[in-house]
Amino acid sequence: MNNILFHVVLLAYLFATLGFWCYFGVRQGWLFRVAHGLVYVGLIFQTALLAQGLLTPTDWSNVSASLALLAWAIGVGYVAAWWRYRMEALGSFMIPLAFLAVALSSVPSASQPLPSSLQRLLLMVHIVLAVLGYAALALTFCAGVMYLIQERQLKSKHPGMWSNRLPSLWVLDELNAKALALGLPLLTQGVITGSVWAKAVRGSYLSWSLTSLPLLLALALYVLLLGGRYTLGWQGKKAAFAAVTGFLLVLASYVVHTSD
Amino acid sequence: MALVVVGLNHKTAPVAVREKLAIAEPDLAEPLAQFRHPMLNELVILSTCNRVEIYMETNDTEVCTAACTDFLVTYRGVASATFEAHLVYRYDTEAVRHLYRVAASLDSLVVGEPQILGQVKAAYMAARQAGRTGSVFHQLFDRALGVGKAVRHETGINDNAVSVSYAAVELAKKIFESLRERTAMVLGAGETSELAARHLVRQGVTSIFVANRTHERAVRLAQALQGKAIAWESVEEYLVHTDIVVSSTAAPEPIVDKAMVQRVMRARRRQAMFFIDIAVPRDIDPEVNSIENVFLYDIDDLEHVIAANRREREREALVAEEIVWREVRQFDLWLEAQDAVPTIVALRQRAERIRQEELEKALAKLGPLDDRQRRAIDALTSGIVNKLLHTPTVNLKRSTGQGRLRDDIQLVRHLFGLDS
Repeated sequence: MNNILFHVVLLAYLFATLGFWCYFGVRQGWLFRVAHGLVYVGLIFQTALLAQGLLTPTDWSNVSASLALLAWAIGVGYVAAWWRYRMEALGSFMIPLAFLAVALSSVPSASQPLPSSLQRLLLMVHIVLAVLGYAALALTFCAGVMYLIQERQLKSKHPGMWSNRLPSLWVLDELNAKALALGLPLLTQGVITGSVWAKAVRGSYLSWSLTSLPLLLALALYVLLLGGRYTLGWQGKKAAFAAVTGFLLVLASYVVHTSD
Repeated sequence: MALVVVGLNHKTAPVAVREKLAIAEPDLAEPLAQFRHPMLNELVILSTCNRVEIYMETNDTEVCTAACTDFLVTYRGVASATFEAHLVYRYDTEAVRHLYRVAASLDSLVVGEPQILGQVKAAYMAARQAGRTGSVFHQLFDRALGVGKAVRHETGINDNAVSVSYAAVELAKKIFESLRERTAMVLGAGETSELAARHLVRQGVTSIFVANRTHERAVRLAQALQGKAIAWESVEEYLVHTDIVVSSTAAPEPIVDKAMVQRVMRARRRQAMFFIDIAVPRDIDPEVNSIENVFLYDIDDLEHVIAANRREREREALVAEEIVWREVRQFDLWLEAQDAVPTIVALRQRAERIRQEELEKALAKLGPLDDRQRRAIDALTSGIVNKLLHTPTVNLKRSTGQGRLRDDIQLVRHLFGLDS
């Protein structure tokens, strides 16, 4: 049962991605509707999968589960952004991320044995907060990428196919700002609960090694971005750049973090 | 007596070259008076943002074309090397054809654009006033204006025409999403500025600053737009609060340079700005485009955007035509089919009446019947009537697609005597 559900979700996100990409190219209305619908399908089945996971004693500490949760959060982020902004182009950028997360979550990973249920709860809270943060930051990443493409097109004075299909700079900048305002606190809380958990389990709040460097850099960048928007004039192109860089750093830190 | 036109246009020369030779309309009197030659009989100078062309009626074309180039060199103070490679020469019939095509807007980058006809007329009038036209050019330009008008009336050529203002607004939306609550500034209070500004206002721009060298004209335009006239010297100060700038002054040199915009952007905390420079010579230093979050489009850029859009729109228009044609046909068929309904109804009513009459007679003869028997006979008669009428009804409805509906209706009505 699990397996079937999982494959439905995987295929739904895969075809949604392909659908969005085709729509981007040929602009046939039905392609978008199908892709958008498939996202909902994937999300519903994934919710079912996760709910199932909640009922049975699942080990949430393993990477697989967190990746699945990430994919779900990205899907939810896409839907939320759609309700607010109705950006047809967003799917082409976000849903591939969701698909990758689902695909990667099928790779079996080791679980951490956890003695106490408090530790387990802490870990769960940490993962949920961090994952929600990642999803919101994934939104800023997509908004940033789209902004940079659109900006390039308009600057070149030959706005072409991409320019027509991408939203305006202002909307992309606003999405960047709003998603950041949501994502940064979530990620920070996730990091904090993670440190608390680490202290409980390993005895130290943070391992000051190379592994935490990307994360700290990312956090610093995001904080700078959040505050600098109005004070330093970090809006528009700089904000987009920072969002893209920040998310790549976050990804790097996630890979590092989950591999030790 | 020969005709020649010497010139360059947007197809042969970029705006950087065109602006070196461009002559504003009010300034035409001077070159028209100055350019003289014993072999030159008639002269018209046409200078727009897309072309600079000199029409001549001469006794010796070679000598006059050389003199023309020399005149441009001295009058505009530019070396011949800068523009000579871009010049195109057309003689006699080709010159006439060219002028007609220009007047009909067929030679414009945006085919079908409306301004060129007025510009040709203005150039002709200026030359006439300067006394440089004679009987040949009177006829030529009169006919050219007539051709322009005819093309506009009898073809759909300007259906697809998209103005520079429209393109500018579309680009502005790509930057700002919505123009509502945005602030615009208009530099130069001429007709082109006014057109563009009105377009912006229609799109929801709420505050407009107008600046012009002669303040009175700025005041007049500001009043017309319900905006605010500002002093020419305070332009930089107000730019800090402006999102969109439309510039169309007659200034020969740029009035907005890179350093100024950098200062403005710093004061604005780098919020995006969109500069629309529709002047030739350009009002805004092209280097401004390299500043982050600043977008500058000059007249060439806008017209390339229009051309690109038109190609895509033309493709879609063809598909839309196909769909429209199909839908119209469908509706026609349905409309025709509706004609069949009264006849079908009349036929059924007639049949039903006959059935009721015969049923009554039969029931009277049969004597007392119970419910079941009565219903059985009713069903029998209904069944026969329906089955008999089914095929003709279906076929009547089908004959709309075969184009024989009217004939069939007539036939049915005649055969069944529905009209008596």
